Amino acid sequence: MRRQAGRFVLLTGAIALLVLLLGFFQTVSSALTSGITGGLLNNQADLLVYSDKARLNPAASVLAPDAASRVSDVDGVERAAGVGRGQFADQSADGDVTVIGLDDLAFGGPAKVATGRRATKPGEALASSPDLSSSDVSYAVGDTLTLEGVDLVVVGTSDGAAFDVGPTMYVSFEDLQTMKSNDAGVQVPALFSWVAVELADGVDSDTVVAQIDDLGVPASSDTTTAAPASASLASTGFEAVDRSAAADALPGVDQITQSFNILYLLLFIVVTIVTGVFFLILTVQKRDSLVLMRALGASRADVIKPILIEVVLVVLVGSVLGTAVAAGLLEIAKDSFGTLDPITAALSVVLILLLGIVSSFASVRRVLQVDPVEAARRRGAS
Amino acid sequence: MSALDLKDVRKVYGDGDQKVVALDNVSLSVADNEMLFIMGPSGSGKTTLLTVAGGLLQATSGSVVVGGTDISGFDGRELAAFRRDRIGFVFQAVNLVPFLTARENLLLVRQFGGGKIDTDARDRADSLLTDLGLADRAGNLPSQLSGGQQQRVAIGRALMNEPPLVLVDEPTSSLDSELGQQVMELLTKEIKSRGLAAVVVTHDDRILDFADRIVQIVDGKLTSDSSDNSSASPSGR
Amino acid sequence: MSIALKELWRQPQRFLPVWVALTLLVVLLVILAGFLDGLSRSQTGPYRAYDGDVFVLSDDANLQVQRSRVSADALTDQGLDDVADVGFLDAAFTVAAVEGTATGNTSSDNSDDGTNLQDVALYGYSMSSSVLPHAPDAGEVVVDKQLTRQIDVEVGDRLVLGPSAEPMTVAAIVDDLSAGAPTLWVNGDEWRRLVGTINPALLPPSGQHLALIAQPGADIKASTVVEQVDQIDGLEAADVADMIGALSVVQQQNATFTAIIGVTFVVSLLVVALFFALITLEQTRLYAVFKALGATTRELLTGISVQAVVLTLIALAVGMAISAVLVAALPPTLPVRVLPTRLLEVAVGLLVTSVIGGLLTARRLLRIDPASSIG
Repeated sequence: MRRQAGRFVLLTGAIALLVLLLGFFQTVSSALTSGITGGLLNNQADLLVYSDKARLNPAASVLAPDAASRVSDVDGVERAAGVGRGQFADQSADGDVTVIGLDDLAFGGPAKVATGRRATKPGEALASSPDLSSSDVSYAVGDTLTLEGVDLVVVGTSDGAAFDVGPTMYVSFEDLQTMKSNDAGVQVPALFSWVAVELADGVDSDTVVAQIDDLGVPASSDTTTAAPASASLASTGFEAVDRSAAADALPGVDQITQSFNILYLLLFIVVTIVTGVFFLILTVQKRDSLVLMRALGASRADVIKPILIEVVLVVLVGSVLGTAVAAGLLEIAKDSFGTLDPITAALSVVLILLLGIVSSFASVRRVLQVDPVEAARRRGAS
Repeated sequence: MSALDLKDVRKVYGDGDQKVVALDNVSLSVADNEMLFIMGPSGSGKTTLLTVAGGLLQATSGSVVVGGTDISGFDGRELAAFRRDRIGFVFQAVNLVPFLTARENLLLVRQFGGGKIDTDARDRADSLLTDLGLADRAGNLPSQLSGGQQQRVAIGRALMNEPPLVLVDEPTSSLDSELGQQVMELLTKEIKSRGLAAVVVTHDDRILDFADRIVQIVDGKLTSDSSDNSSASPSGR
Repeated sequence: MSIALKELWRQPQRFLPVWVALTLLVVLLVILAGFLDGLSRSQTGPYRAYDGDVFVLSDDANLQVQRSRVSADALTDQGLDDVADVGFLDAAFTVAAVEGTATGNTSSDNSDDGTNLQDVALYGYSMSSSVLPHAPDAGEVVVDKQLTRQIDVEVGDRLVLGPSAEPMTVAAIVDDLSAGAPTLWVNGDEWRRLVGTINPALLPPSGQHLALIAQPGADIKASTVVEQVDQIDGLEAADVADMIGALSVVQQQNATFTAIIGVTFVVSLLVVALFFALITLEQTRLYAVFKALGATTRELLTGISVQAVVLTLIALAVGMAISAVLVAALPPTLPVRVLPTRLLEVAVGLLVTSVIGGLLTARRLLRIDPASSIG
């Protein structure tokens, strides 16, 4: 009996670890990806318009100040607003902050606000909620910070609103410009990184995208007061994409999501097969006593039932344990890793359960094929 | 000097209410070149006697002297070496190693304790197998041998290290009458021709003719040092 | 010992399940390690280009090159006798294409068919290193191998850079120095000229660079130079490892992958321990006979360890072969880098893990009573 208990504990522990491995990996990888793409995926904008030379890279995209008004003239565009981005150090917190400057503080930021409200004037900021890797620097409503000489007070937070795997502040475009100029030591031209677009109701986004892309180079590009160097920059066309396409096109995102998908698949295959192997070993190991049971007149059901019960019990207890430990660990490290997705956890458990049952039966099948009389004889001779 | 000397040997299993006295002040002496049979009902302590004599278990009290060596105070390591060098076991259930050939099963006992398989060992294994009529079966796995052949391999393994004392547990229990006789003849021949001592535990009446001497054991006590089949003769038959 | 091996050889079916499990775990470990190193390397090329040197940044930059501004002469007249040479590093992101192949719009076609604009990181530098040649002349650019994997480009080809399609001639191709994107390397003046056409806001004021690179003199440790530079007001120095460690994405990835690899090792330990525990249970009778015949517990344990080691070695060989095939089958743009040292770590780690797993049967083996071989 004690041997059985020991075996049960070992096996349950193993299953728990495997489930833990799956849950942990899934959560962490999705958190890591969302730390890069969250700011775009959860944006208010339906479309994002970049410079057509930027290859959909926000860091490489530069748009002239009149870009927003040109885009807003397109049919089907409800509103359009210029957005700039930069990255600065928060000296007091000793960490980096990505700053998104909104020309229209009411539009171009995250779709949802978790606590507090949006920034409504310069000096205010809407901060991304703590996310992956931001555990060393996180901001809450009421916090104040100074970025390149600009004092900000956090008036709200938003979940999944981060760029560049770090804390992100949504501020006025004015403030961003001040930061950039202070950082550079000279007045820098006011250029947008992208234009956020809201579509009118019932408009087909593909049509609008095509129209924006077709806007091309403006006829007269020197109507702005920007520095001379930016004159040539303004003479670029546009490239519009929807949010998810914009997120997918971020540099490195493709690589990272593909890498994680491949790893998750591999992990899943390994975990399920290793689970199967566990049960195979267990059932093979019990084969002799099962054959004996058959010899003593046990029916097929009598043989199968205890095995079935063991598999289900081990997988369920192991899964609950593994999920609990994973959830516990992630709860502790919530700020950096996010929380467990219940659907993924449940799916993993069901698949492990299925494979456990299949592999157990694969080995029991041979027991069932043994003729009970033959079984009795074999036992006697051993 | 006798091959085996047991003096006032007690073996007690468990303690308190659970206490079972398996051997109760047993004194017994087996001479060199003597084949002693121990008979008794199941649970009488005959198997315990064999395990104590063979150094598988330590006696609770009393002294066990094998070939002049008192093993009573030996630790596990010393006992393992003692069993390897001084005792040949023939088990009731044969207990051949299933994944080793007949020859390798013989050589097995040479490998424990850091031993090496040299030419000498190989020659000995081959000559034993020839003596046992298994020369052409040397490369077969136990599963490819008949019950009698397996028992003969087991006898060969017991003799491999030239032990002065061979302990045999129910050698015929799983063999039919005729095969049992054959195996016993072979065992007796091999043991007598080498001048070894043997203790055979059995409850098979049909093989008692092979005994030089028979003792009965009941409830852990030797009740009789009964029939002296042929006290001084070198061979029973 | 040979008894243990014979068992393995003659009853392979008994060991098949654990071998399959171990092989799969090897594949998992190798691929995980490959991604760990690949992802990390694909973002840290410019640092690795100056391996052994010291990066000098402004002390408010948190070791992030993009945000640092350092005066070009910040290290001169500082009496740094241990510094042999000083160079600089400037960086900006832009796009590039082979001349004549740049298409106007990339949204419809994001593939690597050799005709499109590529995201690139443009670096200005002055000091050669073991990887980088001397800074090229005006109009010339050094490109890294990663770009050649994405578009068809050779030495002598002309690339166009940035939104205004500045033409540049490829002067040399160097080892993969990816920084999240392929890297292009030009001299300092060219960098300023090009970035002026890309995004003038990124330009540091005249006479400043993003970072300086100090090369320690012969027999001088990088840490010595770091300490000295840290004394200078307004500067912060770090060696390559610390620069890489300061990248939060790399840090997170490393932590994540290391944790997953660690759990995988624990699972391997359990697999081996569970398997040998079961095998010991199953073979109790046989082990009792071995003991009766004179084998010590230590000898039996050695046998199990040998079996664990051999099983693991075979699993390692086959698992690594499978991994090699898998890695080769992955898209070349995926950042997988299987390093020999990492393979060695996986191999040694798994061998130790299996031996420990096997040795966990010690208590069970010790309890086996040789007397149970009789009766």
